[in-house]
Amino acid sequence: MNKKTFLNQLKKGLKGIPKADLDDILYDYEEHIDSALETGKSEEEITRELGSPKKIAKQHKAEFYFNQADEKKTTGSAFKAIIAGIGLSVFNIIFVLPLILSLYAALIAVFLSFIAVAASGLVAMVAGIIFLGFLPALAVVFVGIGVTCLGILLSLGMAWLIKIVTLGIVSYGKANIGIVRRTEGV
Amino acid sequence: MNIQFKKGVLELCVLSMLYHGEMYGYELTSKLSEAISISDGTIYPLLRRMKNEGYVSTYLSESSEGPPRKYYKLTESGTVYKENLITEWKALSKGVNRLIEGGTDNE
Repeated sequence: MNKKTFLNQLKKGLKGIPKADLDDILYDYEEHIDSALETGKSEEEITRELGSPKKIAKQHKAEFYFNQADEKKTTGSAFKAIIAGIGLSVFNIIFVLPLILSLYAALIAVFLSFIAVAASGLVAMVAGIIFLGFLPALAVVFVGIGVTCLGILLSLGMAWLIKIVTLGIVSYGKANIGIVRRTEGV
Repeated sequence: MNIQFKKGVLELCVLSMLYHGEMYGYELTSKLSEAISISDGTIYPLLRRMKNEGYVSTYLSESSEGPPRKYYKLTESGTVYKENLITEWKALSKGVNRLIEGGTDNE
């Protein structure tokens, strides 16, 4: 593989990473190859010693997304990190993925049911207001307000829990990524 | 031995090398792959992570030939981290050596 092919494959593998970071990563390898050329090595020899550009790209991608997840701590960035980790086979996809998916399915189901609680409270409130002529209707309005507030609080609690679980998964991935990086190289 | 240690062997080598002097990418990777069998390309993701974690910093410096070179330099927190890794490494290698040589604890 010559210099151009190596850099092209690396660039291809790094798709999705912002341009500034991409350019910075590519620069490192270009500089490496140029420095090695000065010592009289051939492009073939240098790229062989560098290793597979696809593998290298996966490592950089995983590192990029894990770092983003660590800095931003958003659910979106965490998901990207998990997917990058799967690409690097940090996670055993067959074992871990169903586990993660069912965990999220359960969490989201509970989250949605809490939203339903809030919605039912809202319905009770509206119904109470419509039939305000009757005395028990006022009680229904207040119960409705209470149920709505409870539902909102529980939903917020669940959203928080989902975020915590996601961060836990990311830190598990982070703990593993160094080991994989080491074992892949040495 | 903790998981952090395993993660640290390659890191320890890089940090130790940088402790003895600043280096540019090719210099570092060629010396490292000479000592341990490793593909040069995998050292750069590691360097990037250590930079993200604040253990190393980089700066560009003009070279006599070719494009400017990116030099890697150990930070203060990198030096502290290196010392910790060395302590752990010495404890481990001492224990392993004792087992390899068949010695016992009650010498």
